[in-house]
Amino acid sequence: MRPSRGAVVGTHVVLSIATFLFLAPILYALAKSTQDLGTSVSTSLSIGDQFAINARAAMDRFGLGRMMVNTVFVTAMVTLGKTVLSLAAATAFVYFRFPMQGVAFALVLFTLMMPTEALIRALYDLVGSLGMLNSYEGLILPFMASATGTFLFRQHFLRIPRDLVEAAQVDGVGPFRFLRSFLVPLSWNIIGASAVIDVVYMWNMYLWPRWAVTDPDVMMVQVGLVRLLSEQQVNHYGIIMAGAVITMIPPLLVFMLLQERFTRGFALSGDK
Amino acid sequence: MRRVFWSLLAVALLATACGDDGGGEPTDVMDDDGDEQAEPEEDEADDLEDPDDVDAEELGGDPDDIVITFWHGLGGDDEVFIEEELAQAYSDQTDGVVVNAQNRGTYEEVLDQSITAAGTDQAPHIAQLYEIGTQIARDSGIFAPIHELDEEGAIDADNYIDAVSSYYTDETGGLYSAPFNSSNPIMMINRDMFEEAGLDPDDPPQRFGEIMDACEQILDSGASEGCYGMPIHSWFFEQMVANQGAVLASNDNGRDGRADEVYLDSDEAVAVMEWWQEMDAEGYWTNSGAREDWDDPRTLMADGQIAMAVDSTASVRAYQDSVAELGNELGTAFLPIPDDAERNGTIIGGASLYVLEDHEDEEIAAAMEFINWLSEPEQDMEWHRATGYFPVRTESREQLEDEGWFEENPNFGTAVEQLEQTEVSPATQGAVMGQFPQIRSIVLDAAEAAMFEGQDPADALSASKQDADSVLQEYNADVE
Amino acid sequence: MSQLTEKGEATEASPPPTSGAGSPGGEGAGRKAFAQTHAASFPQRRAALWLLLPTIVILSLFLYYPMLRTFWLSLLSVRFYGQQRRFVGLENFQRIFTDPSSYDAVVRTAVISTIVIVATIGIALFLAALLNQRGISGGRVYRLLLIWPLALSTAISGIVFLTLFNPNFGMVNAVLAPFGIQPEWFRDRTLAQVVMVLTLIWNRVGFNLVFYTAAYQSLPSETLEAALVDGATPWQRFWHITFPLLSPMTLFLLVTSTVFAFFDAYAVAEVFGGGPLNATSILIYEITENAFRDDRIGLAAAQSLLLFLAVAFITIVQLRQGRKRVTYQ
Repeated sequence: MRPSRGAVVGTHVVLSIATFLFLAPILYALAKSTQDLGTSVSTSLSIGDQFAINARAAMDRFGLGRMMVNTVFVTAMVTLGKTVLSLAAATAFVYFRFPMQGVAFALVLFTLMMPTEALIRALYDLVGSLGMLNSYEGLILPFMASATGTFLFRQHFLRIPRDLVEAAQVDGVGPFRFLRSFLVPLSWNIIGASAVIDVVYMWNMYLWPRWAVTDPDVMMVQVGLVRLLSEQQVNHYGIIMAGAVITMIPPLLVFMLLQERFTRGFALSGDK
Repeated sequence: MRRVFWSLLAVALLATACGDDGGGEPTDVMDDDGDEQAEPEEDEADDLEDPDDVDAEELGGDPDDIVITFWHGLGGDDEVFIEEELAQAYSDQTDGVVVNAQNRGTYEEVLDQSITAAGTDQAPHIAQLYEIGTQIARDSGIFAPIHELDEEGAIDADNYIDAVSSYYTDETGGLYSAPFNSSNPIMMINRDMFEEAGLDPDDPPQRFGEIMDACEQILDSGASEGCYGMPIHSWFFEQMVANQGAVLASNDNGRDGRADEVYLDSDEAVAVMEWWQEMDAEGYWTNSGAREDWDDPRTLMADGQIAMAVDSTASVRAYQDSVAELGNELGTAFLPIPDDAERNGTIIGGASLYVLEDHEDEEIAAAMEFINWLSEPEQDMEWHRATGYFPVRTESREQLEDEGWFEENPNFGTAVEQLEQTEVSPATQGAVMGQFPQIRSIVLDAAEAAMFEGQDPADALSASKQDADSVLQEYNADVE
Repeated sequence: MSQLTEKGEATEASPPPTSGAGSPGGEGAGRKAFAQTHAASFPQRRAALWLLLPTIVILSLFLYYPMLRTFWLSLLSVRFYGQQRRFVGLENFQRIFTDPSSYDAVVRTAVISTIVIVATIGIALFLAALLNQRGISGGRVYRLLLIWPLALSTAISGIVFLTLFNPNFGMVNAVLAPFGIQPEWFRDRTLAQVVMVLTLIWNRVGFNLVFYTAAYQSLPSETLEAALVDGATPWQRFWHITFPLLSPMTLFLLVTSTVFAFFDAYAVAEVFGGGPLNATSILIYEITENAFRDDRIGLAAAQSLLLFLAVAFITIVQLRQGRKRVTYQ
């Protein structure tokens, strides 16, 4: 039974309107990013020819280029770190029996409800006393462990047949090699799905990097752009918008590359 | 600790990638894969080594040079100038000392981070702090007054323009911190628009009433769609109050004992707020409505939407350039003042340099020498020419005058003239009080209530006065 | 209905992987898992320690320690960013509820967050339902375009919206001009809050949409087809079959959206400067103002704990409600 023609048209109309509303601000930013100083502070939506100039000003003159590199680097390190540490922790929970396992598990579980942001000043003082304010370490280290990732992998491992472990043990394969040679190859879709979540998380992060890093050389780009706007440095919206447009590129690439894995990661979990 | 982190991280990744199996399985090809996987991360980490995590050698000095860490709060071109033209130049020409200048964000953040870092090995030697952090900085006890450290008397208050040094002296009459980047508010006008509206750009309006009349004329003539711009910022409020010779806080603005009351409800304060409200309600003052939106008047002026703006003297150059892009010429005038008030002048704004106490004697001596060098007329003039901040030394101002600099740059001339005509009194010395940053935000509460919600300015200010007094008194109780 | 629920049980093992974290299914499975592993697990306990240690160390150092420290700070009056401390007991907490401006912030935060949570989930669910109807072509294209805002960091979304709603050169007022309406968005408390809520919704719907779409794709097609044969209307099918099947995902998104609305919203509040008249100054913004600019770390710590407890409470309530309602149980 297919929906009626009217229903299909109606759905398309609603979806088109929604798509337009969601895209409009981005199209606006795109248009503004191509305009010169005078046009950028008018209501004009014309497409200018200043994108390259604005983008270069944003990247070089106002240092957003360096900040983009910082953001990509920090995001990559956190994503990698979270993945490795969560895989390791999940392996420990699923394939070992050790004392206090339940306590350790609860300890990890509880952190799901502890957003770093709520502890901002205490974390800031701690990271400061470790000498890690204004450093990449200060942006990366506090986010390396992930309760979410640990549970994600743990749940996945629980669905992998137990015979595998026995077979591995019979063959004399140790736990680290088991993780590397058996579990990881079986987990790529989940790794991809969790990587997408981690990337979005890091790309959106604001509160912590805003206070932990005030030196433009280490700053993340989302923080740097707000500062450009608020600290009386740029009054050229073409440049601001060019910066905004450029920051969209890396996450879009990640979405495109990992979208399949992301969806399959879920499909897989549905397959039992 | 931070270097340890990278090594630990590399080890952790390697361990996970190719760790000991515990099963006695001989290592095989897989392990090599693991190695390859982890190594690029390390390389990348090296490339991105934070620039501020440096020793003397990396800054171009000898390994056993003294490193002076200098935290500042200036961005953009000013930052480049401080770091490359000043700090780097000094390091190059001085044996045994390397100055590591780092941008630590806003003034607010430099203050927080300096106090937080005090007593640890992270602490800087010199911190650039804003004027409203004066009381907090002094009470925090982590800084040593310049006049105590300066045995040779090189950084003497008498060498500075009175209006500048008077802000930074403490009860001994000596300088507590070294004046560095100073500015005050000034009015910019678009001369061409003035002419188009039939106004005389050589005789710009100075009084509140005159400005409103001029605005009416500008709007009626169609010379521009808006008239006046100014960030909604407490700094301008404080300046306009001081200009009338009124103090903002008790005990002579905190200069004669700790301030414990903020006179936000004084007649002078109400007069300013009434004018703000009227300018806004009449549509003369174009603003985005956002707090402390420094971009707002600059954008409007650059776009030719307004003919007058009140902003910092440090931005005169930016205005001049953007108005020139419109094919127009910029003029300048003194800060507006109420119709019947007598002009007292403005308070110095900007920031000064503080020395942290808890360092080796030789490091402190080296830091003092650097500050001394910075304040020499040559550097002072160079700084002024590059950034638009005031030349703070009497000597450098005179030299610039002799060179004809102010004739070539009349807009800078107006700024210096306004500074020199300032009557030094507790009012124009500016307030020194605790929680000043928070009190600024309380002042804006009143401004927003008056401008956006039509509340009576006197009522709004008296509500803010209560808030301000209570945070100030709480601060005083904690400190004493 | 009971029959359908039974069928739904076939998908018991498919709560969204991430929600396994907190969902009751996850916990149950956890206990079972510990028992299972007894049979087939590695004997090298030392290896387990090495695998787990980094996670435990990082969580203890960067979450548990700051948590304990926040508790301690909330009982102090702190000056000069920690250089001077004085024990004041519960004074800071008392203040949150007696100081009118602080109390207003609590109310404001509750209202703004609730709207954002409900709207982001509602809109995402609506769009996902439309996209996953049978016979709708181009679903992929719509989806890709709809999630685009997700590529823009929340803070940068704030900048774009600040510009869009700028009274002097913003697009929104240009569009409204022919109708003779020129709202001053950032001079009116309610309007500024509207813009803030719109920004947050716009930025976040894509995230929820991605997850709902993934959940849709793992729905058991037999169940849906059975309902089609039964001749249920689309609305009945959605409400009685699809929605319950999606409930584990909804639960997960409720939890993540709660965190987003209470904490990530900070970025927008900062771009808007918390104003006018503190209208967009939500609790997390007040906390940072107190903790950094105003040098009132003790009060900030008390507010932090309050916010933390509120979020924990809401999360637990949502999970408990979920346990009752999530139909696969």
